[in-house]
Amino acid sequence: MKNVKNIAVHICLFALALIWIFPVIWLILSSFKDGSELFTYPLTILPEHFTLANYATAWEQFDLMLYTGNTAFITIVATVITVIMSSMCGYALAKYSYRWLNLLFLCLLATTMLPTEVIMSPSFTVLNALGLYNSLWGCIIPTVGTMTGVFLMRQFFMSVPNELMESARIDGATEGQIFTRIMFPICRPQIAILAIFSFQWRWNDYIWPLLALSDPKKYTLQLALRTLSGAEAVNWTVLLSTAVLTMIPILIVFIIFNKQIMNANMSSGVKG
Amino acid sequence: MKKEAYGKKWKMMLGTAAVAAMGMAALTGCSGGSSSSSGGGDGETVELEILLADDTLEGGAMQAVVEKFNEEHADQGVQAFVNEIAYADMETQIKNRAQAGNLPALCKMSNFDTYADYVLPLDDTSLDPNNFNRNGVRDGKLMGTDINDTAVGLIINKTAFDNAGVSYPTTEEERWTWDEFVEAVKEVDEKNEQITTPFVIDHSQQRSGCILYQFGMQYFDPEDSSHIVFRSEDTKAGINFFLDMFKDGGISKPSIGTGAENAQDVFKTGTVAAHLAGNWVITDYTENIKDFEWTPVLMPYAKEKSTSLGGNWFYAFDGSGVEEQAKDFLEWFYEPENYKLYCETGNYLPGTKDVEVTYDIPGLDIFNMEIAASWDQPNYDTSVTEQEHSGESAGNALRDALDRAIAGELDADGVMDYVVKQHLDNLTGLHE
Amino acid sequence: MKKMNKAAAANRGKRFDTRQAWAFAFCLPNILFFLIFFVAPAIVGVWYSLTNYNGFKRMDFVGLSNYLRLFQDSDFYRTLWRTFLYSIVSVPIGYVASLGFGLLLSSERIKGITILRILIYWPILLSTIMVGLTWRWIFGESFGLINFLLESAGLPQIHWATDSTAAFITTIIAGTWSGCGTNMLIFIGALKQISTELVEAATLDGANKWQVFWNITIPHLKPVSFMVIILSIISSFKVFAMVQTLTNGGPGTATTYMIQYIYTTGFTKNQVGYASAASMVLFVILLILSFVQTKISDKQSD
Repeated sequence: MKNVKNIAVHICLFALALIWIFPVIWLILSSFKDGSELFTYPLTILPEHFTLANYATAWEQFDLMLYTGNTAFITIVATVITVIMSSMCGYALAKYSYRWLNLLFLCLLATTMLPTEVIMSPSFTVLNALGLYNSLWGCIIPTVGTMTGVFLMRQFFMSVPNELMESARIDGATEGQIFTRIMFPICRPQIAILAIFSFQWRWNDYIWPLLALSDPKKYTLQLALRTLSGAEAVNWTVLLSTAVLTMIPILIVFIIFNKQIMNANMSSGVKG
Repeated sequence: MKKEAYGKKWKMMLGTAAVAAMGMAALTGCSGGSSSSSGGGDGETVELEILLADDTLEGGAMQAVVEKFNEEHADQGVQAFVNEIAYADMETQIKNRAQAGNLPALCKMSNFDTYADYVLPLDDTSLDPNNFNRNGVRDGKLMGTDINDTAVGLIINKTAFDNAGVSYPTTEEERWTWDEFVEAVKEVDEKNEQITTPFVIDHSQQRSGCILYQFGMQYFDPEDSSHIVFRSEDTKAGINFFLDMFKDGGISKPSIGTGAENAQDVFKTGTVAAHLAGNWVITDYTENIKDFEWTPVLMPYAKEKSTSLGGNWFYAFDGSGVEEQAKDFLEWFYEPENYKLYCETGNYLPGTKDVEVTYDIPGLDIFNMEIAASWDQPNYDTSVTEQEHSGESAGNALRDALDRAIAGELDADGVMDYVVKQHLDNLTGLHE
Repeated sequence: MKKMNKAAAANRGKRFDTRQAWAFAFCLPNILFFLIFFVAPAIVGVWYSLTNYNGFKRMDFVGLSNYLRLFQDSDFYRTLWRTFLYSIVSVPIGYVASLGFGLLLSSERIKGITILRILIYWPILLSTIMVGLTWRWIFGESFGLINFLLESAGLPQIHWATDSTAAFITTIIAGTWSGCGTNMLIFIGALKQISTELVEAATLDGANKWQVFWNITIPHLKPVSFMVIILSIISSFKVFAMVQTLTNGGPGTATTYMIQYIYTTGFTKNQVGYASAASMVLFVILLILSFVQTKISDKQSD
């Protein structure tokens, strides 16, 4: 009896997951249809004339290796800096209590409230003044301070017992050592989560690359993708195939970090 | 103990990532460096950047011409390259690059008056302003060159029309009135099971405005360009006709009218009888329609025959540091032999008078016929907005108002109120 | 917390407060970042809001007239109300969905859990524009998938694009779908920290699953929930690129939310001054909302 129920639960779960992911499956399947079949009605779910031509065109039209390299550089560097900055700041916000820290928290929260879209032109002025224009660093530096990251780490460190710090202090560790030796290592799942977020944000970001870059040799994948939407029409076939291609690296990274989150066993040493 | 081990492993991972990142930084730095300083032994090679935002379906015409240029100028110290960006990002790019002192040598875009402060006058080149179809002269100086024209036109599902035995106009004498057109597409709809929508139109102010112009709409008084005469019985009749198309029993449907669905994509499904579009869709249709035949035909009319002539400008920037080479490129580009290659590769309607273009695709002549038959008001309105109100814009006032009217938020008078208000609010020196 | 306060108080007595110096050092990168990339552009933004700047040459000081015009603009109020509505509907739905998936996916007992996780996570890997485009194919009226299925089943089609309620629902669905994964990951991270011993002890004491959930899981998730809700509210107010691709704010203005309103006035109508004023008002609204929330949460934890 229990077995039957178990199987039923599994079937339901997988069915749910498939419905959930269906739009993505649809996207992938469509990328193998030719331009004429893409717009056939009645619709076809599976491509009738399976073709790789869209991928070939995408490959020909764009210097995908170059763009992937640029995007990867921006993403990796920005993610490393983001993780370090956010965990330091989140730690300070959670584990020290000074008045100015509360103020800082509110200030940082305020940064999420002015969308980049509406302060684009002042932001560019700053970027240019710092000499970051037309450099990949221009897509990195303005993005590394993220409230979501700081917030995430703060909320996590709040649930870490203070005894850990106190006992280390008694052992004579400096505040810096407490952070690097004890606190930073135990927040692995949170670091992995933040890394996934940051990776996803930077990989899919187009606003900062748009503002910071003007040299086609420095373009990122998202900028290339955007050129496919013209004034009047969208080049669907190439757009779909390029979108699928740009998804692959980030999916791989995701699977790697997923293990980091899931394998963490926090039950010992840290209270619930 | 265990915790320590975790920490170490973790630190190692981060370290590796940091090293990898730096390695990549070095790599990208190198490749960037080598390409920007590609100076030859005897003198520097100048790089000419051409910034553009083509629909990628245009077939890379500029790239083809640039390759020809580079071949012919291989040992003359100048090489051009194309920098293609998204259409929606063009304005941001140019503003920012002007601010950063990093303007490209040349730019192809639908407008240049907005950037008038940065555009390089071309009056000392061999280019003849009278050779261009659209006027790029400002304050007596040639500023923008008409690189290609676009015209609004009608494309029909030929297979469906032939099936239904309905004829369609290809000469002036046969041109439909709008009422005749409605009858024709309704008949095609009835006699073809596949057709579910008789008519679609792009969600664009240029296209919807084109119909209203055919009903006699005017923005500016031809006698007095500061007098806005949008509010009129003709405009109202046009708006009402337009709105009726999207109501029940009309020839189209609201999802098309409000742009929730892209007319071009829906036409490609073969479920549509006619599409009011522009000449630029031809390349896309040739490539991506296999299940039925289509052909451009003449547009219907009501009070006037009208098409909206638009297009792109090709111009140089002042302050790019390579102004002389940019001028030379323009002169070379408009030599009929080179310009012909450009128009034929991209299936463009030429913007100059001294070139004869033959296309692989039939039907483009219809658009030239439309241009010749059109009344002058659309061009007049465009030139008033561009020249007397450069840097100002009422946005897509007409399109936005029509969207709201289709959704039932406004009626024809409301549309006129809105459009007039947007013009008075956003353009200086106007009166009703 | 109390202990910390005492420690801090003791520290304040010292000449050179090393602990505070460390705290400052930990925050320094973010403080610098805040000043350079937020305060500086924001000040410029405030300045713009007091001018008639059009993005190019014209920039004259006009005092508060942009704000006065804004407060008399009925479109602005309608857009604001619509955005509130979107937020009120989408935040709870998103919260429940992400918590549900989080609970489901943090269990190790299900076979093939890794594949399930990847499938459910996948949407967060798509860029916002791709999300909009993908759902456009699903909700298309003429050749969208759902209408095709409805038609095949002999059911009436739904006017996703022209019925304002249906269009509103599409933005909610697509918004939840794309945003849910982020919060779900945060919940999973937090759930992973619940000590298994505690749960086991409670179970031994005779607590059922529901009681464990209510008395152990939920209280443990409180700090994280506070964050998730506050960030969800802010991001629901900022929804833009996805909706722009999905419905383009239509039909009419039925799904035009705040940022799109600001963006269209600012960029397509070249009224940067006016749009900046609207941004500042939005900023103040969000600031008040977050402040109230922080206060409520502080009170609860006392």
